[in-house]
Amino acid sequence: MLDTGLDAATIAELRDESEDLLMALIDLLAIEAPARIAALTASVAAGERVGAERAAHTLKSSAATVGALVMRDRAAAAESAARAGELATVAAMIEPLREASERACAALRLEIKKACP
Amino acid sequence: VPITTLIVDDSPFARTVIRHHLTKFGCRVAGEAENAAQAIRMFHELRPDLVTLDVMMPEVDGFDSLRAFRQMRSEKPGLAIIVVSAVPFDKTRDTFIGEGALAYVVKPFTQFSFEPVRRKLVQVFRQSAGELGGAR
Repeated sequence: MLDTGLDAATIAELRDESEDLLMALIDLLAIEAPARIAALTASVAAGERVGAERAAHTLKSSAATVGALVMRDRAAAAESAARAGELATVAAMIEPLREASERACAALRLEIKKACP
Repeated sequence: VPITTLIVDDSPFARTVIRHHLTKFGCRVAGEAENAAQAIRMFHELRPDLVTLDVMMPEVDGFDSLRAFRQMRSEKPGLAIIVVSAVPFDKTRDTFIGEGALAYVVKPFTQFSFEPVRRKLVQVFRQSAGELGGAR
C-alpha cells in the first residue's frame, strides 16, 4: 500500500488497461462518494440499519475498484457495524470515512497528474 | 453482430469497469440496471443476448439476484448470464453455475479475471452464430 492509502497494483492495472478508464473511475468517485456518504448519514440519522449497511457496502465496493484501501477498510468497518445494528458506532465512523474518501480522491488525481503532467 | 448486453450492478464503478471490458470484447451494452427489479424491466425491453448480474444487490420489489436470474433464464433459456460477485463463496457459485450461469466472476472484474469469460463468450456466441447461419 502506498503512503496515500492507495493500492499501487490496482492503479497500475487500471492504468495498463486504459488511462481513460482510470480517469472515469476517479471522476465517478469524486461524485459518488459524497452522495453515498450523505445517504449513509441520512440512514443513520433515521435509524435505518439496512439503508446504512447498503450505503457503506457500496462505498466499500467503489473504493476497492480504484484501490483506495483506507477508504475501503473504513467503509467495510461501517458496513459491519451497520449489519450488527450498531448505528451509534457507524455515526462515529462517518467523519473518518469522509476524510479517507477526500484523501483518496486527491491522491488519485495526483497519480493521474504524475502520468499526464 | 454485436452481442446485445445488459449490465446489472448496484455499483456504478463496477458497471463502468464491466462496460469497458465488454465493449472492448465487442459487445453492445444496451442498458445498465442498478437492482434486480430494474433488471427485469430492462430485460423485457431490451431482450439482451448476454446479462452480467451482480449477486450482492439490495432486494427491490421482492426481487433479488437469484430470483431475477431464474426469471430471465425461464423466459429465455439460452440466455448467457455472467454472475459477478464480491464474495468467493462456493455455495453461491455452485447455485448459479448449477442453474446455468455461463460464468461466476469474483470482483474486481479485471482483464485477468475476464479472460476465461472471454473464451466462454467466444465459444457460446460462435456456436449460436453457426446455428443461425445453418438455419438460413
